[in-house]
Amino acid sequence: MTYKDNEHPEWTDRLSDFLDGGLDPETHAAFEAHLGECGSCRGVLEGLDEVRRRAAALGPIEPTRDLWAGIAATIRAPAAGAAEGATVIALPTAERARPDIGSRRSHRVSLSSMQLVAASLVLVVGSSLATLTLRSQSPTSTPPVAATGSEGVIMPAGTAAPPPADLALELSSLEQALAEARGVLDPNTVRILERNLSVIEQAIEDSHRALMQDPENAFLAEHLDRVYHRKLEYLREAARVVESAD
Amino acid sequence: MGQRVPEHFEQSDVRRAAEGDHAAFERLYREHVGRIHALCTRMVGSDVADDLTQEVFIRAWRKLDGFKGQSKFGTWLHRLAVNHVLSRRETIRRRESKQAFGEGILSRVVAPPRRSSGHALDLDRAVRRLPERARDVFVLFDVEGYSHDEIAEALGVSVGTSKSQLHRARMLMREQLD
Repeated sequence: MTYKDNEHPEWTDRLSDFLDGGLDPETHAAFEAHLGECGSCRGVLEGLDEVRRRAAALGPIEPTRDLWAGIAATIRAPAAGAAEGATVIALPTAERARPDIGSRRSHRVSLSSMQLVAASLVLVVGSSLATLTLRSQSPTSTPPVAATGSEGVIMPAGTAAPPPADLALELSSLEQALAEARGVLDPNTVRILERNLSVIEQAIEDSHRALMQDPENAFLAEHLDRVYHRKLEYLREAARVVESAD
Repeated sequence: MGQRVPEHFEQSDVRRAAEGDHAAFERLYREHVGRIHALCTRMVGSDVADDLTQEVFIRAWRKLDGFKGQSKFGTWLHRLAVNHVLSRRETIRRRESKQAFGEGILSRVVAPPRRSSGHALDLDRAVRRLPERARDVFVLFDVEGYSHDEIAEALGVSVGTSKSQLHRARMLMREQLD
C-alpha cells in the first residue's frame, strides 16, 4: 500500500515495527542509519510517533446519559430470569397438575384442571390489577414495591405497561379464557404458577419503569418485548397443560 | 470518572457482586463504564455505544461467577467487552444497512459531540474514519495497550496481519491529522 509522502516504502512500511521495538538488532541498526540521512523517512517516523503518543493519551468516554437504570432493570434476578428462562420453574405435567381429587373432591367437585390453572392465573393477574387500582385510588403514597397476595405470596406492584400490539390480543384471550374457568388447583401447582407469573410480572414492571426513564433506549424496548413474549409462552404452556389434563 | 477505587475495595466489590450484590456491581459499573464506553464508541461508533455498553455489563454480571481473579477485574471486563463488540458487530452492521437512508445516518450526522474536545475529538473522529480492521488493531494496540499476539487471537488473524494493519492505521491517521 502506498501513502502520501512515502518516498521509501521499503523503509517506511516497517517504521511502525521500528517504533514498537519489533525489529531484530541488525535491522534496527540499519534503520537508524537510514533515518540519520533521510529527512523524508524521519518526517514520516515523527508523524507516526505523534499519532501513537496521542492515541495512548486518549481517555475514557463517559456516556452522556446514565446507563445504569437499564442494566439494573435487567440484572435484578427476577427480570434476568424471566428474560432468559433461568428462574422460571417448569410447569407440572398434566398428571401432576391435577389436584389430589380424592382428598379434595368433597370441597371442589365440579372444577376441571382448566379451572384450577385459571385460579392461579386470576390470583396473580387479579392481585396485580387490584394492587394497581388501590394504588391509583389511594390519596396517600404507598411505596410501589410489592403487595401480598391472598395466599401469602409476594406479588409485584405493576406499572401497567401495555403489551405490544401484536401480543395484546392473544395475551388477553388466554388470560380471559383461563379466568372464565375459575377454580382451585393443586397447591404445588398454584405455588409454581404464582411464582413464575410473579417473576414475569416483576420483569415487565422493572423493564417498563426503566424504559419510562429512558424512552429512547432501544435495548430496554427490546428487553420489554422479550419479557412479554416470555409471558405469552408461559400462558400458552399453562393452557397446553390444562388442555391435556382435561 | 472519579478517583480510582483502591484495588482491595474493588476485589471486595467483585466478590459481593458475584454473590448477587447489586450495589457492589453498580460501584464496579461506575468505576469502569468510561473505559468500556470508550472502547465501544471507538470500535463501533457512538450511535450504538450505549446499547453495547449496557450489554457488556449485563454479560459481565452473568459471568461474574466464572471470574477467578487471575487477572484484574478491569482487565477481565475489558476483554469480555472486546469479544462482545466483535461478536455483535455483524448484527449491528446489518441493522445499520437497513437504516442507511434513515435515522442511523441522521443520528450520526447530527449526534452531539461527546465529552472529548479539541485534539482528542479530532483524533477520535479520525479513528472512526479508519477501515474497520485497521481501526480494530489501532484501538486495541495504540489506545488500549494490547499486544499483537492478543489482538491476533481476538481478531482471528496472524500477528503479521495485525502489525501491517496497525501500520496502515497509523499512516492513515497521520495523513488525516496533518
